[in-house]
Amino acid sequence: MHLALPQSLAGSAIVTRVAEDAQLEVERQLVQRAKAGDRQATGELLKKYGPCLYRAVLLPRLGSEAVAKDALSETYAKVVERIHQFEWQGVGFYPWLRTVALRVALDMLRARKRLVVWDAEDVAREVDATNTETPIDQALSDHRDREASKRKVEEALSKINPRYAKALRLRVLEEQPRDEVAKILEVTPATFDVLLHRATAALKKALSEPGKEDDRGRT
Amino acid sequence: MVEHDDSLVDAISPEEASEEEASEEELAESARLRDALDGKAETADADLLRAVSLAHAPHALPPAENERLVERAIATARPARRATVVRVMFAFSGVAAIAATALMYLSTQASVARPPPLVAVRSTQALFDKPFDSRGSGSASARIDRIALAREGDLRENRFAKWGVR
Repeated sequence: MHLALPQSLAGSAIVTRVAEDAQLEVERQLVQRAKAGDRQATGELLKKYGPCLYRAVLLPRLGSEAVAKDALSETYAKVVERIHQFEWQGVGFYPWLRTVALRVALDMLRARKRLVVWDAEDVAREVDATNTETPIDQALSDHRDREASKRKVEEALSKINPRYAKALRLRVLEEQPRDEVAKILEVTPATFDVLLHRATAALKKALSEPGKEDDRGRT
Repeated sequence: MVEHDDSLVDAISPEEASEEEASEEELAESARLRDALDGKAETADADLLRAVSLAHAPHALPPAENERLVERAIATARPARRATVVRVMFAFSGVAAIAATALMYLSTQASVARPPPLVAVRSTQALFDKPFDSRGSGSASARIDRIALAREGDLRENRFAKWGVR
């Protein structure tokens, strides 16, 4: 019985590995067709990875659904136009797609001057790091991207007054109703409005402060 | 101000106790932020708070919306014209180079395969207007000299032809 467990685990790992290899081979063929001008194959690749790209890369960095959709659309256009330049390196299509999306996001952040959680310099560092740090596995890459965004928010909240941070957390992150949050903070709704306004000002200041050198480096 | 607690400063934070109570302007901005968060107005502060929310917990893109974007990108994509032009130019250059090489090879082969024509052996009769008169003095020597001169010329021409300098 004791020997059966490791064997079954090893067997499971082998099965997983074989399945991953098969999936990668399917993707390689799809990429080959796309490079040869098969637009349907390109579409299949984009349909597969687009939602992850939007949720993990573009939306957190650009901070607006409308802008993130524009960026996704721009990314798709660039991919369709430049797929022939993509060289298969045995690591799948997603790392290249993510790099294209990051470059689009960087251009948009530089063009927009409004403050969001990620600034252009942060994303520029990410673009520089794509050659060495983008995980091959798309799910792992998504996880790291989302954790990096969440951490930036938490870092900014940790820099401001705890009561301000609590107000922002309850009202903005947890999206609780204004009256409920006011009750939790033991203030009137009108007082809570002022509290939230001051908390927002403090958060802006925290986000404007220079961040760490590379947030993804710690993932 | 009457709506607010007895001490707004205390409510906000003990650490911020040195701050003054909310001014009229601050009250107005607070109200604008509240309305913006309720979707009734637009302010930069509300946009920032939405960005913070999206960075912390981004929403998923509906599959139908993604498919629409993909279809649009594929339908409106520009053909990779520059790459096509470059490829066509490469193809033309390649064909031209092959053609030039083939031409050079064929011309070389032709020049090697077909040596220049040599002067054929011919009668010496064409060198003389009159038949040979054995009785005339010195006429034989003159005829031989002419023949020798003609043969020498033929020999020179044939050598030049073989050396490829003609």
